Amino acid sequence: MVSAEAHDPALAAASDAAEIDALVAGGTFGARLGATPEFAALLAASAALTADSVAQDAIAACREKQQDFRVEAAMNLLTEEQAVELDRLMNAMHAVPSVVSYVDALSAFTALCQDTSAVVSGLIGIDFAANSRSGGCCGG
Amino acid sequence: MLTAEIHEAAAELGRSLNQAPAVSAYRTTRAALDADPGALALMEKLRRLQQAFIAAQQSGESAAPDAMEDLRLVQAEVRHNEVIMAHLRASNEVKAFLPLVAAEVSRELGADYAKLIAPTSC
Repeated sequence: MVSAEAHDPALAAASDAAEIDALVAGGTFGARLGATPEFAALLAASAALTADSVAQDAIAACREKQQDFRVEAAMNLLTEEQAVELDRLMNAMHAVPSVVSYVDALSAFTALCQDTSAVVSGLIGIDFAANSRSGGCCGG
Repeated sequence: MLTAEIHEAAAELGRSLNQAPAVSAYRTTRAALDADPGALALMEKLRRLQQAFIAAQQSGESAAPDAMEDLRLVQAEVRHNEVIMAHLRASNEVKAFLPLVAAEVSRELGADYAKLIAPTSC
């Protein structure tokens, strides 16, 4: 029989039975999150967004202009015309129904995940959200 | 608002994490630190001296020799304080362990859970 640890680097690296249990509990929790209606709605919205050429064109136009104005935006040096152009493209993108659906679905699932994180943090006495990324909350 | 089922799933994860050595060591050392006014005062003193040092650097000034010496002395005191050092080591351990757990959540979910729950400042 092949152990679960053989398939999973994190489990293989865990040195203690209680650590392995916690990692397994993480996987179980992830599977339960994946079975929520909010996640199903996000997957459906994502698929609809990918299949919508109008949305893809609007997203591409927005990204292209953001890339063009990247330096100016970073340095807070956008001209009024540049800012207006960016706003116009952003508004056009956010007016596409499939984009609206995706943003709403992502927002709902994000809120669900953040609520679960608050439950975990309350039980362990550590900010789970702020410590869940390598290198801290802004780590890669 | 969480459903009872997903709330319980999150609580199960929290209870399991509490059994992990990295988390229990963090809680134990944090409680010891909180119960030690001397250690807390030392940490606060270190924080103030470090902030003053950074502020001086950022303003293009060099720190006064007395301030540098104070900082070195407090750093040495902290290095020899078992309560503080135990907590700092435990903090490092838990900060290495929790991302592994979040990665397991993400792996089963098929989405980056840590990114979804990250504070908005990130």
